[in-house]
Amino acid sequence: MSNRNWRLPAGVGELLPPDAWSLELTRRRVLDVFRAWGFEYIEPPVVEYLDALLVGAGDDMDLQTLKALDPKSGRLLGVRADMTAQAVRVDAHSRPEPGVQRLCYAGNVVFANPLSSLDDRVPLKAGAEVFGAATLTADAEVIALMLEVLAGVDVTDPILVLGHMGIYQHLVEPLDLSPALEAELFAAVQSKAQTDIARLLDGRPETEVLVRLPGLMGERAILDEARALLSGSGPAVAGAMDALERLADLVLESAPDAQVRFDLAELTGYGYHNGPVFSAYHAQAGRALARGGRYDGIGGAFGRARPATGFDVNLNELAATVTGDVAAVWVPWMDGADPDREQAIRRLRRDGTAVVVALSVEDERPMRCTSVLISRNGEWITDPVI
Amino acid sequence: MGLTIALNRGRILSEVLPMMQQAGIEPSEDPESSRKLIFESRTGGHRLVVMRGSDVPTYVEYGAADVGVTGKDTIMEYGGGAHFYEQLDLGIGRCRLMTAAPADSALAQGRDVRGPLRVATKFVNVARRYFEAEGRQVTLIPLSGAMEIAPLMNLADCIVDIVDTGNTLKANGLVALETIADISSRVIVNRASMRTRFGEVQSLLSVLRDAAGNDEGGWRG
Repeated sequence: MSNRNWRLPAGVGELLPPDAWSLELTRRRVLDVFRAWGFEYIEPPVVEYLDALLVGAGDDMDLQTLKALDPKSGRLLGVRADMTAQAVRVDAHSRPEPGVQRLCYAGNVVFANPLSSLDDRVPLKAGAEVFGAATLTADAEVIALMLEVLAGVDVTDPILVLGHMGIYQHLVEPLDLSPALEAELFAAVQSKAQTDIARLLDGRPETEVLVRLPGLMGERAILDEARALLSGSGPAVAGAMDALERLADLVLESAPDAQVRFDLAELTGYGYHNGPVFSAYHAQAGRALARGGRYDGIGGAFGRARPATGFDVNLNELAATVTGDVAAVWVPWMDGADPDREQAIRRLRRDGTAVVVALSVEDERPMRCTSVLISRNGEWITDPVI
Repeated sequence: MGLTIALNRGRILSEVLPMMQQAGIEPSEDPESSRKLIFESRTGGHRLVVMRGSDVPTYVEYGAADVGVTGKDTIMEYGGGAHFYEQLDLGIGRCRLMTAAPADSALAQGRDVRGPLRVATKFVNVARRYFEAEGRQVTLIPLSGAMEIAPLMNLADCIVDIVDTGNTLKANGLVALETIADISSRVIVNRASMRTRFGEVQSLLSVLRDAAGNDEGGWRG
């Protein structure tokens, strides 16, 4: 085959029937949940100045962002790899509401340099953020919304994992580590590599606590054990522990069936979180289906630092549970007009049933048309194909 | 349903299998003599999948396997960190990831090489990060094995490779220089399996931890 114009770049896919409908229906369902919860929808641009996209993010986000030189301004443009910074900009600058602001969005992001070879480089993401609320009730609302979104796309019994970035941050702060060592420690704690944590800390006072921290995960009982381990680690760590427990109570008040687990060393990969963090998993998915957390003060880079918390989901991954097979009614070819038939077709379509009408006598019924419009006793009805 | 466990083929396997046995996971056939690659365990409904060590992280990251055993060198080359949990050091397969050069080379004698250092290795990511941290410009030459040959044939100034006894280096007139990392076999766990199959993963790790004589704490809940 000499023609290779059909090729797509590595990691870039296209969705065909029925998967494309499945993704679009997923997007609609998720946005419907956001709307029902009173979140206002924004559509930030796919491309903007790089500096704005990288606000609050680490090196990872920089490497992930596809860049181009803007001939008009001479500045670097970035194609967004995450939409949170855009929502932050809206809250800080474009629409600076004085009170609490709830924003939601859905759109494609692009990964210039996917962390894994199997990752889709142009996934469709959706997310919701609450700005201007410093209380745990805001985190609880976001978590409850996240669970509702998963329920809305038929993900049953997800496992909700709660953590708090403050625990790790307050433990590490007093150690006064060099940035390079801190980065290595972060990676080791993130991957729960206890041998490496011990080696990196090399007998510093908090070694014992930090080596054991990644093992502190599980159901509620783990919190007592954590309190015992962290009892001498100062009021900031104790405060983060209290916040974590209170957050779990709040979540269970609005979602009593939630399967809550704790992970005291849950460090998300986004780099900007600085409070409670949360993620949702399902046995059928090899990775987190949704994740988020608190990231207070990031908007300062746009001139308005505010408390903020939110989450996002990869809609391509959620679409797996939503069927895109749209059953349709087939209308065979018929010479001449029939007003009754035309009306029957209009009525079906208005009621949400897909109707496919033959365009010529040669036109054959597609497989997805599982019933046929027929006339029986002078009435047009749908008859299932056997 | 039990866990799917990806194991590193080769020398480490003979040390890992007895540990698995202590956890009640015994393959229906001997993986070291069978040509099969997937083995059902006699009890518990687990599956053991035997593969190249460098493939283990890929299977675990995407959840094709819940748990894997592979060397720290492989994990470092894969990128480690955000991809999966790496909670248990089995303490077996110990060796070091090192730089090495011919004994009579300038490098081995403490003199510098002019221009970018030519480094032959199969650990290109590890080597790139290591020399970056050292502030050293290098030209990486990816090879898939027998790295020792490269400096001898003047393809490279030095190599980055696993050093166990050092006999292979010595036999080829090379000396080990700097240690990049101490290596041992690690148990890695898919991030979702850690959440959704917590009990099963936990009990496996707890037995493996005892078998490894490793007391790092962790695993309650």
